[in-house]
Amino acid sequence: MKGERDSPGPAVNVEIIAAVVLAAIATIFLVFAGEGVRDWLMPVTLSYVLIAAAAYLLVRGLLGRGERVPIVPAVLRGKRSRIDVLIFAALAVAYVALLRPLGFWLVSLPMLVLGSLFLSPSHDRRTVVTAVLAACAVCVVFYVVFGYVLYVPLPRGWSGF
Amino acid sequence: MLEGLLSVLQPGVVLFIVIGVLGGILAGALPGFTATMGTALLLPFTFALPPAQAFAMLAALYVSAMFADSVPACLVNTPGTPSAVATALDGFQMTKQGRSQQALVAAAFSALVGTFIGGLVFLFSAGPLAEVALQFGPAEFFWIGVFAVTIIGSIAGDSLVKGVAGGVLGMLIATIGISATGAAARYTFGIPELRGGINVVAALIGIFAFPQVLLMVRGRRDNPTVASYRTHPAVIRQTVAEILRRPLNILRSSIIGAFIGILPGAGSPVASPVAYNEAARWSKDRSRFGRGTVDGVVASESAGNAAAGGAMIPMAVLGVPGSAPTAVILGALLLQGLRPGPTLFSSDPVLVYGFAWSVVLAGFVTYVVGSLLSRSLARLVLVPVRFLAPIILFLSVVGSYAIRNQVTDVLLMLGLGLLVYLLSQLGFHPGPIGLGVILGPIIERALVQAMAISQASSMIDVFFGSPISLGLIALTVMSAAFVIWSRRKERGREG
Repeated sequence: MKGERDSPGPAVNVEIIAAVVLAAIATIFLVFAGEGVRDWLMPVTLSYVLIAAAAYLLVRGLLGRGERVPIVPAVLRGKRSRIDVLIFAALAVAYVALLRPLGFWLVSLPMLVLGSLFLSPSHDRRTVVTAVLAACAVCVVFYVVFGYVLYVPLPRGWSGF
Repeated sequence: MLEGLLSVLQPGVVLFIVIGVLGGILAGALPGFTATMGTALLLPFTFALPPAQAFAMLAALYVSAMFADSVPACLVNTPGTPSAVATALDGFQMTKQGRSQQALVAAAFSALVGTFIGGLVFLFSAGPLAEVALQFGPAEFFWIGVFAVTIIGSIAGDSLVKGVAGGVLGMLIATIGISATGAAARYTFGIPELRGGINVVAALIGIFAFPQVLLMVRGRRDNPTVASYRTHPAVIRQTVAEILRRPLNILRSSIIGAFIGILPGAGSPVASPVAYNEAARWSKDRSRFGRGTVDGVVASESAGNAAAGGAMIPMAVLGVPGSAPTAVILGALLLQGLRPGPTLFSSDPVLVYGFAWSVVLAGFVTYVVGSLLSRSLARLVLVPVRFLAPIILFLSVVGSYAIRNQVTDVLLMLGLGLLVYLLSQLGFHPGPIGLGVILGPIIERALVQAMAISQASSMIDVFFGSPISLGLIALTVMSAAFVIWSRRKERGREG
């Protein structure tokens, strides 16, 4: 991809990473499990099944089966498409974090405009106007649908919007 | 029965069926909204209506919402309701191949046939089937849940172990909250909102929609739209003809759906994956499933809609709702001063049969509306990713918030979305995780109830004592063995 800087460096088997992730999740569920057979039978049993799956994947990885991926994540290697994902995910986190305190309108409109502009290949006047108009239309339509057709109160925030 | 049909064909009733269908399409197509929420919102409007019109509208909304959940599932891989998870597996693949309109038409036609068969089952065999459904105890529900889990074999992707691990992870996530016995708060970490458990719809939005948005963002330089769209003048006729060339699939799936719908607590979320799994198992080429075959959409959608008809049987015959939306409809019956149960058939047969006919008629109206809208809806995939990705994020957040007006549900959606995106980079498929979230609570509730019963008698008797349990165990073993056998065969063919 144009403009990407990607020198893979040392690699690790993807099955080993998957095994570590599964084992970590299972460990969390086991560590915080309580006592009482009927209450905890399901999560504890499932956690052990997850550990068994992790062990299987680990063995596969150690035997060299499965794809090898670079140890350094693509984001740190400056891979543009992965940086885009990271930025968009950060935009989503910010949107969720600010929705309650600032309210539906004050957060949704800027999120839609910024999201659209960020993903646009060019940033000329027409792109900006289209992004703003599309964001306004989406907000108005869904505000009416949720608020007046489906009676769902959307967050208003300190400003009342 | 004929009087019931005539009562439904009154212009006033037909008008309310059309209103119900349009409301259901809106509710089903919006992420975060379900048929249950739609029927609940419609309930206040039914107070002032005559019973025939009120129940026709509620039934129409339920039926059409079951179809409409396939629209976001097929177009952007976001199941509108839990029962559309299996639809998304092939529907979205069809969209990626430029066949979005064909996927929507297949969903609409399957909804028609499923609703028709579910309605006919209601009309002609409600009493005897409700008696059979009463034979299902907690152990039988446990085994039917375990049987449904075997669908993982069909949707696991390249690695069966990762598919199973994904399903287990989904079930683990679903254990968050107060336990089935009500005695322990599990993994709530002092957050009061988590005591009520995770919201399944918010979790599904997170598992399917958010990772899809991130994948769109990642690939937008190469693919500026979700998919291409091929116009095809005869797509409706050709799709219907293709489905009817293999009538066994749609018939089998509808019958499975109608029967599972009768079982209280099971319903469409269980019926769709079971029917999908059976369609894959009986197919001559199982490898087509999950890669954009019409048969996958047909199996899931016909079963889901037939289950809607089936779910109304225990409600009308026994006064026991077969699903959450029918619980709302049951409430409407009570508010109208009617007493659901065996006496309703003798005291008010026109109303009961009219209700069943309105389900069938709603299926036809849904098909007509769905087919007419299919071309416009299918073209939505041509909206550039730079607009679509922020809009799906917006709808995911607002939809998750709308369920209970809780930011916790939105955070859950976001957290699960990020986790599933990372897992997808390691070769995990979101399908099994979503299936685990849906089936986990059903299996656990049945397990705990069966264990409580087994304190009075032997555990072996409870879990393995009834012929229904033994039949379901045999089906599960056969299904699992088939999955392993067919995967080995495929691997042998490839390598």
